[in-house]
Amino acid sequence: MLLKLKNVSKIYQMDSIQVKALDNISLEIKKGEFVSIMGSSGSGKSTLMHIMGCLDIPTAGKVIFEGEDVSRLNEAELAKIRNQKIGFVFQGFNLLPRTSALANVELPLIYTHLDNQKKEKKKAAEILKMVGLEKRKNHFPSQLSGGEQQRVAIARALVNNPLIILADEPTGNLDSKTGKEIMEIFQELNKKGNTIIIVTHEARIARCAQRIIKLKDGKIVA
Amino acid sequence: MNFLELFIIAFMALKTNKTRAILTMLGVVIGVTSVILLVSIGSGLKTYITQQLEDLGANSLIVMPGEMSLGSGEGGSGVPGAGVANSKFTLNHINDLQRGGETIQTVMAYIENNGTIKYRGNSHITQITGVGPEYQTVRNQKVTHGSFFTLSQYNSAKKIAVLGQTVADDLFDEEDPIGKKITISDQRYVVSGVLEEKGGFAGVDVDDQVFIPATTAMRHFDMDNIQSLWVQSQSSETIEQTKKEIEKILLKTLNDDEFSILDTKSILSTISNILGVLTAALGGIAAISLVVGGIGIMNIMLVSVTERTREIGLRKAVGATPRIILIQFLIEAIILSFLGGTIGILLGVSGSLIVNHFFITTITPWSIGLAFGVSALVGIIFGVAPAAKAARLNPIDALRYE
Repeated sequence: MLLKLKNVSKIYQMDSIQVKALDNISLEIKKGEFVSIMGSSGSGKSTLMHIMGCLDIPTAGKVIFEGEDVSRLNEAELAKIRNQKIGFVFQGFNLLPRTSALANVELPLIYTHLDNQKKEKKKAAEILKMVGLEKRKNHFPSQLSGGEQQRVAIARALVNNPLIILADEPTGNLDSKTGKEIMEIFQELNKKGNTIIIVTHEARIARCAQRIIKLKDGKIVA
Repeated sequence: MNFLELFIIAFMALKTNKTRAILTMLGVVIGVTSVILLVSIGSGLKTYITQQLEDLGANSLIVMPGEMSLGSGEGGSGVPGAGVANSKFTLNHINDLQRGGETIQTVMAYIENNGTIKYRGNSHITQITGVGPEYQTVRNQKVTHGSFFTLSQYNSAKKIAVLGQTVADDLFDEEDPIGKKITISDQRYVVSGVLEEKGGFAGVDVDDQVFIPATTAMRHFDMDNIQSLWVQSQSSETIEQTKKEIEKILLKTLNDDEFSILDTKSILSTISNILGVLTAALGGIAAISLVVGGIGIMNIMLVSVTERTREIGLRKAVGATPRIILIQFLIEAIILSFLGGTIGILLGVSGSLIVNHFFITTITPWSIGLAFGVSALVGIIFGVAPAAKAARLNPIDALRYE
């Protein structure tokens, strides 16, 4: 079992009102799975992704990552897990402006203790080639199309050989044709053995996955 | 993750915002430059005046009319030449002093007035100074051309003038002034010599003066009294004794509130004190601009944290710990202030070297140290708040930030 959530709840305190974003959620993700988390906005799917991605910790319950309970780690420890075990792809790409595609892909590496930086940097170029951007590695994000930017972001998510790739509405800012291309990349990656979780509100995108988890009001409905 | 890499990240972040980084640095650059420049001008002035007064000789005393005290703090009314008003000194006093004092080497009369000097079509308005023939040795003043007036010329109050270099240049141009007849305030004089150039001194240009015998000056300007007496003691050790002797001799004919004796040492220490305070004040004012520069850095860094919220969120999402974010922003602030400080030192030092061509400046190591130290400190202190703010950002909120 790669990732296990056990009775996870997340409660936000807003002034005097308590908002239950996640309500007693339990789920398991196996290695090599391709899972979609679907739900309308406000269903808690983003909160769930943040907790699975170690960007946030649950109010109650346990998050077990490769047998290790990560739900009570401090910020620095969570940062290390994010760096080495998780790859993020965001809706808004979140690339560093005025920084080359290659340097963007290398970004996670500078926060990793590495013995052989050169070799790793070579790897960044290889991954960029894999997503079909070897000719554009010195371009700035502003010089790339939306689809190309998202491919750079995927390359960045892959650079540290993560255990899980978490994608939050990865096609949300793209037209449907480019969105389809991006989803094909994810399917390709899944075939190569990568574990992928995609958060989306579009059924069409969710259907690309092997398993769909539907969320409503912080609870799993299907 | 090593320090060098953090440094590179910070440097790259600054490089992507070149204009902003340069403008931010400008505050520190101006602050450091002005501290160094102003302090170097202040201490240059001090060095120069000290040197000029030392030229006067450590064994010199000046007897001024009226009551005056220097350096003692009680009603110190300032600089020689101020109390010309009611001088009671006569040539007899000079004779008394010359005869009566054991340690008194020379006594010289000193009179100042203004006059118009004319030679053919040219005219020049300047200070006419009446002195004794000892002036040359008292002031260590060389004559480049011709000669100074002699004792016998002095005693018989001959109308002889010795010109400062500026006066000579202005009136005679290329012509040889020696032996030429000039008029000083409508009376005829003969030029006997031209003095070696000495440069300005405490606002008085020694080169822009005409020296005539004090005896002649008294007659010419219809004065009964001598403005001040310049006394030289045998050596700097006998100064105190000479002071007492002068006092004893003058008290025979004058009241004790009708004269005061100033030695160069006390003049020196007073002027030195005043200029020291002045220099410190200039440095202080400049230091304020350094602090302003520092606040500029803080302002920009804070704006930068807000502007780069998404970047910080992303860096955290891909594995940057709060500590690394803190260090990165701190390094950015430190690079700005160190670079600004270094440029400021270069500008300040080269600025004072340029000013040195017009006005003497002394570059003091403490001002460089102070300026750089303050700028570095300012960078660290004002860098901490924005850096801490960046480090505290929640990655989820930061990523969502629009």
